[in-house]
Amino acid sequence: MQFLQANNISYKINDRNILNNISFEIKLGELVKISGNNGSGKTTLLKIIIGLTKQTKGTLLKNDTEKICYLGHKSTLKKYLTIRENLFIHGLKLNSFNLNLLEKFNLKKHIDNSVGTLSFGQQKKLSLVRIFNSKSKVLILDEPFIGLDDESKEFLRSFMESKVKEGGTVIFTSHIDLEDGYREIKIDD
Amino acid sequence: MIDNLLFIEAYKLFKRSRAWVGPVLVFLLIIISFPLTLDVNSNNPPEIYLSFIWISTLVVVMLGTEQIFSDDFEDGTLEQHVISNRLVEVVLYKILVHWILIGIPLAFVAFLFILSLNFSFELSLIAFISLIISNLIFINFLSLGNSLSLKKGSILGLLITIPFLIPLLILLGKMTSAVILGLNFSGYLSLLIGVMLIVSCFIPFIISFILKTHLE
Repeated sequence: MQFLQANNISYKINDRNILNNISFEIKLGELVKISGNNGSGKTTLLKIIIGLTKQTKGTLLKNDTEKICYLGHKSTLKKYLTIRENLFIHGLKLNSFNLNLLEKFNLKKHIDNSVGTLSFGQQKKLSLVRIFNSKSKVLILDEPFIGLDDESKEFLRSFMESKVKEGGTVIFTSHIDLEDGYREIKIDD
Repeated sequence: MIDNLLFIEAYKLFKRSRAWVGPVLVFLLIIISFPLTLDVNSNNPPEIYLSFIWISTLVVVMLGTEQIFSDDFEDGTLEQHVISNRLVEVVLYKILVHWILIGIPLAFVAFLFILSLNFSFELSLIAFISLIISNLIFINFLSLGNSLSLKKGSILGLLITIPFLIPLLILLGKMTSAVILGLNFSGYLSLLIGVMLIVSCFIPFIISFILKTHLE
């Protein structure tokens, strides 16, 4: 079953072409990497897929029955709140699953510290907790590996793979060659 | 689910105590210092005090709503609300929460201030009710202004929206005069409530449209 089909998608802003006639399709249950250099339009393409931005040319057919969970460049974390409070405002309970995640990410000891005091990598890990809790069948992640240590990268990778094994769809962007064997949609500058 | 989002918005604002305690304290300082600048022997009419209260409320509400969307815009929370199709609800809740934590306390402080000036209880009560209503209108318009200038600093949007509030200030002045002269003021009050209902129904939709445009 198809999740989306993009035909000749282009995006132009202030006479600058960000995306040029991109066509691809993604089936439900696929793990797809969108790769390209910095500024090649990966984030714009994701924003078009989730409906935040409208393409200036081309058509995008999407299976709208699937609820999407999106992790963008921005963490959605409130820096003035503690880890515990951030989990609360994201509707996440401090159950054994989340406590184990925090332990794994070495964040449990900072649970009552404000997020503003955490490093970029720690904040990235915390923002991923929302993704690990997501019940959505479609995950769209923008540069999810940036800022993570090797162990956390491996954990995220195995999570994405298990999501796909359960029938979910994962689309993520990366500007680094990961040599992971995932299906790749390359965007040229 | 509805209560949950409303509660989360209230929690977020409550935890940012500077955003709501600050404006109330500023307002308190302004209204305490205002009578000190007037000649105590002169018999100043209540209109002067009430006009001053409305203008100061407007300025203080402006301070209190300055970051109503910027924080959620910068950390990507607004994007998530667009994806989940709940942006209008969130805008509505944000306005409501700001009204509860800033608008109503300001009206209450103003009520106590007017009472302390030995004006009639009826006048103080009418001023309190009109402030509760007008503060919701102020918050709606100022939020609209802030949404317009989300990426450009708050001044531009406020310059666009504040002129829309001048007729409201005139209406409040007329209502006060009617109360002081013992005339029927119910027409003015009804008009004020009508404006509040119209503004509260339409502005959240306009704001969410503007926010979506910023996120594109």
